[in-house]
Amino acid sequence: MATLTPTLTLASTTVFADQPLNMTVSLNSAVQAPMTDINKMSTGDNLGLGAGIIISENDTNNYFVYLKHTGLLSTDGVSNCNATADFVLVGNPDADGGSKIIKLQPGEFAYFPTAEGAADDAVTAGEVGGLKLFAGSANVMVEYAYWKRS
Amino acid sequence: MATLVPSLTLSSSDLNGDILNLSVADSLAVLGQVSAFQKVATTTGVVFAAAANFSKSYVYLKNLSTTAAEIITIEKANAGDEYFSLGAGEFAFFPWASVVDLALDAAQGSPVLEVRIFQASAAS
Repeated sequence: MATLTPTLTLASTTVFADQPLNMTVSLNSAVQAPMTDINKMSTGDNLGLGAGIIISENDTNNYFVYLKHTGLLSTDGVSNCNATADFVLVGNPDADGGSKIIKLQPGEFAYFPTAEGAADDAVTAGEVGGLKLFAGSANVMVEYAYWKRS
Repeated sequence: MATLVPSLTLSSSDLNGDILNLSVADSLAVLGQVSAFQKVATTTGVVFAAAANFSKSYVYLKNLSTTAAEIITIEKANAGDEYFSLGAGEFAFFPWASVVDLALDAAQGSPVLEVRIFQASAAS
């Protein structure tokens, strides 16, 4: 077992007229395998679970997940993508188009603990668990990592 | 123009035989509504942010409970698709596409969810 320490700060001097925003949260979280280091993939890559799928919907674990849109096209890994059209949607790995909860534009990141999947999950609405990337237009490079919650 | 600056550090000294020390930051335009509130979760899913009332937004969530069993699930609707599972003290930050509602559902008890929503554009 290991310890992951995520620390998030939200700051702004312009969101509110008369009060700055400056908040920081942190928590030591016990984690264990399966886990990854920081990885990079195309939204179209197949890691063995299907194109764009990072965590199977049948996986019954909870994971702490980090995602970042690098802003780079997967065709060569160095060219900038279209700042508007080449977003990345993130959702459950099912056919339900309404399941996509996250929209990453270039440079944006996310951190969250996933809900666990179900071993007998069917490809229907009302699904739980799993994580899949959907390209808005062209495939782009995404950084990701996950750690199983102990 | 209002700007939100989120930064995230992920650190660990005992993962994978290598030290994890990742830091990312961004500068995000916040031109629309800003909502900051706390919501008491129950064991029935209730929508706390309706997609119809927002356009793309940046969302911060934290389970304020200190009781391990008081896990809050973030889902599309009661018994709908489930996305996040926030244990006691756990938090999330993500750009919300605002195409699905955000609902909260407690595993047990009445844990409190801290919510902050920063809408990217002026129009909902």
